[in-house]
Amino acid sequence: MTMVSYDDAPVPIRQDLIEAHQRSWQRIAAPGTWLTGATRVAIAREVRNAHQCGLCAERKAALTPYSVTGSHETVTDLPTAQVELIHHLATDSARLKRSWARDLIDSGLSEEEYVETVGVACTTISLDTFAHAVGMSPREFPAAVEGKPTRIRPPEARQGAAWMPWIAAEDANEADRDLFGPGISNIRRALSLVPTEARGFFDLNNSHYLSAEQMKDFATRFRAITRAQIELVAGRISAINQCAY
Amino acid sequence: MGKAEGDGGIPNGAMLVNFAEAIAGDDVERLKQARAEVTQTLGADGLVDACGVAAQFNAIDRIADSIGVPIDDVRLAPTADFRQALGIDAFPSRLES
Repeated sequence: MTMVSYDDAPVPIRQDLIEAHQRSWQRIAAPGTWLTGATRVAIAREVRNAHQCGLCAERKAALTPYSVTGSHETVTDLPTAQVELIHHLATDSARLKRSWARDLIDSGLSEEEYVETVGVACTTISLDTFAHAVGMSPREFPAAVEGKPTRIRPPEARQGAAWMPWIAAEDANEADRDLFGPGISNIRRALSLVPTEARGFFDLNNSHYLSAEQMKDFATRFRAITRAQIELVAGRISAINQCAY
Repeated sequence: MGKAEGDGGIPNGAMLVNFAEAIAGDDVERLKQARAEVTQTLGADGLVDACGVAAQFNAIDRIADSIGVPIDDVRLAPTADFRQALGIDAFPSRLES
C-alpha cells in the first residue's frame, strides 16, 4: 500500500489532510474506471514533467498557443493526444478551447478517458502545489496497482453545456444526488462522466478547501484562517490562472 | 491580470495575496519570504490552510477550463457587474465556456 509521509514537513500538517492525501495517492495508483493504475501514475509523472517541456514553454510565450507546432518532451509512453491534454492543462489551461478538446477526441482519446485523465492530472496538480506551497519536495510517485478498469459509463450521462458529457442535476440517480443533484454547482458535476473520479477529487477538495455543506455555513469557522481569507486566496489563484468559472 | 493592492477589507489580505502570487510564480526566494510571513502572522495552522486552498484552486481552475464548465445559471446575473468590472468576461476561458 502507498504510504505518504509528511515527516519532513516544515510545519505540522493536519491529520485529516494527511489522510486525504493518502487516499488521493492510493486512488492515483489504483485502476480507475477507464485507465489502468500504470496509466494513471504515468499521467501524474507527465504532469510534473510538463513544466520542463520546451514546446509548452514556447506555447506559453506565444500570442496564441495554437500557432506553435512541435512535439512535447515526454517521460512516458502515453498516447500523443493524452500527453497534449496533460501538458496543455498543466501549463496553459486558461487558453484551452472547445475545438482543441474535440480534436483530441477525434484523434482517438475517448471522452471517458479525457475526463479521467483530467481528474488524475488535477489531483496531482493539487497535491504537488500543496507540497510546493508548504515548502516540501513533491512526494514520490506511488507504485501502480495491478488490475482492470471497471469501464462503467453512467447511463444517465449526456451532452450538456460543458465540452464533455456529464450528469445533469435532473438526471442524477439516488446514489449520486449528493454530488451531482439539484442545487449542486456545475464544477462538482464537471467530472461526472466518470463518477468515481469526481468523488475522489472532491474528497481531496473537502480537506484542502471546504465540503459542500461547509461552504453553505458562513456562521462556523472550519479553518485557522477565516472564510474571507480562504476566499481571498482562492480568488487570487483563480485570477492568476485566468479562470472565469 | 492586474496587481492587487491593500488588504481589501480582509485582515492580512495583502499578505495572503502576496503568498498566493508567490505560490503561482517561480521566484523561490519570494515564496520563502511570503511563507515565513504567513507563518509568523497566522501560525503554522494558518499557513497549512492557506496552502490547501491555493493548491485546490490551482487544480480546480484547470478542471473548469479543460471541461469547459459554464458558470451556473443562478450565479450569472448576481456576478455580472463585477465580472465585467474585473475583466473576467474577457478571459479566454469565459469566451470558450
